[in-house]
Amino acid sequence: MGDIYSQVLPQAPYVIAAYALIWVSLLGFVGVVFSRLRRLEKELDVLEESLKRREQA
Amino acid sequence: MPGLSMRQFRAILKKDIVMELRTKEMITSMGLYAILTMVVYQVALAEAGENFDVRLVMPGLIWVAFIFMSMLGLNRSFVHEKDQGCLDALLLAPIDRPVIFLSKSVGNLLFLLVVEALSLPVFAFLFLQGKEGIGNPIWMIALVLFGASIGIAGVGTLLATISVNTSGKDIMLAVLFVPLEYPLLRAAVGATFAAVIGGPGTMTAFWGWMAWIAAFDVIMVAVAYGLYEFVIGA
Amino acid sequence: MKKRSMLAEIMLVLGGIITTVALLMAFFWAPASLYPDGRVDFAQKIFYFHVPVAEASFLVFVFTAYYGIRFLMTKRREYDTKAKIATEVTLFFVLLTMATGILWTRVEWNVWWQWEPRLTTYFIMTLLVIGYFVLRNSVEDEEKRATYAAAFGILAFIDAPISFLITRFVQSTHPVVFKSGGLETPMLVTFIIAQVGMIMLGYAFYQLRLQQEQLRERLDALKISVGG
Repeated sequence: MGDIYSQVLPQAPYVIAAYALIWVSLLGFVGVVFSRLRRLEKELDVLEESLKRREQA
Repeated sequence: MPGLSMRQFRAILKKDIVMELRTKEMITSMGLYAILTMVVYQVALAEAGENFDVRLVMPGLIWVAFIFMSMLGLNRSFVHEKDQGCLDALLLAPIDRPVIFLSKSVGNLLFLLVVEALSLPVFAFLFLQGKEGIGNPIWMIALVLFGASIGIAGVGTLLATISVNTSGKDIMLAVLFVPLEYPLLRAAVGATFAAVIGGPGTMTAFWGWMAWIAAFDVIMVAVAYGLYEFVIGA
Repeated sequence: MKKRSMLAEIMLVLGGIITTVALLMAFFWAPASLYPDGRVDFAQKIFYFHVPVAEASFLVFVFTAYYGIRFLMTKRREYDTKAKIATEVTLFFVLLTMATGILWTRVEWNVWWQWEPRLTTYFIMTLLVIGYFVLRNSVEDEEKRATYAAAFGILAFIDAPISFLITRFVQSTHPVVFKSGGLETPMLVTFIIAQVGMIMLGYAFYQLRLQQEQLRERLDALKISVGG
């Protein structure tokens, strides 16, 4: 068992870095897109609201 | 109307050549650029020592010079047209767009070949004297120059048309041109190397690389030809 | 008013689950790969995600060219937007492939970078995709920008395989996954699951970004009509 660890350990940081990088990037992409989408939708709501008020006035 | 197209093609080509003969601007600037590059090469190789075989890096060196020189020429050939409103006039005239592409790229090809043919002996004069000679017949190098210049001029004409309309101009041409020309450049260096080194097996390698150059020329120039109509009309 | 299509979100969730399953399989189910001398090749685990990401990048790049052609044919702005988003997702996957590849290279070849055919090709492709965005950013006029980007996208899409083939013309040291048949079934299954998940994620990313972009365009148009 110790033998396997001695073989795996030197490589582990690179493997972990690779997987961490993929996961963080994927989550980051999704996070950024969703936050932007939400902001845009909020803006759209505000705009529609003001449009409605303008029509009523 | 192939007859009319031919006349238009010749007229545009003649205009470029006559203008060049009058001003000699393209040839001198490209030629000077090539010679300046060689001065830089002298510096680059200054510490490499006397016994260093220049032939090993020569193919790379000449193609570096040619690729940058060609970008200079391509950019010039369209900056002129744009500055003097010539391109707009060409577009207004009842000329088929493909004819514009063909005449401009043939013009660029001619200038490129002239400067290459002039600067290659200068390179040999500066770097190859007293060294081992070229291993294979000289026509092989001429063939590489011709084949690769077609790809450079064809794709370059399209890219230069794009880049003169951007805010980056010359840097934009480099950004688009160098990665796109990568396969061609690789094959050109491979073929030139085979021609320069000589010896057994180099003929096979040479024709292998030449096939790549031919494939690149056919595919990429055809695509550039097809896209040109859209690009110039935009 | 319906603002989002659900398909993108379903694909996102599914893709997320499938890739997570593939991750667990890669570490807990797929057998360890061994070097010829019997030592454990732990870095081989990178392969399970490096290759799917790379394949996904090529797949999305197809849409850059496809929508480029559609745009040139129709001159409709939506195709330009689609081509742009596809290239954006390509860039994202390309950068991920480069980063994971470099880490793998460091372990297996003891160098961060080597001018090996696939690495070279991938580097060229990265430059082409970056060039696409540099080009877009330096053209003011909208129609010109779209046309140039479409033309360059098509050229780049044809150029990338040529670079790939030409660099293969010289001997390669990059492992060829499917030629030697050296992949055991659990490894292959893990890889395929990761691949499927990654393609789903790629689709979801593309759709989500597209929805965001279309929403922004509509919002801009609305603002102009309200303001004017």
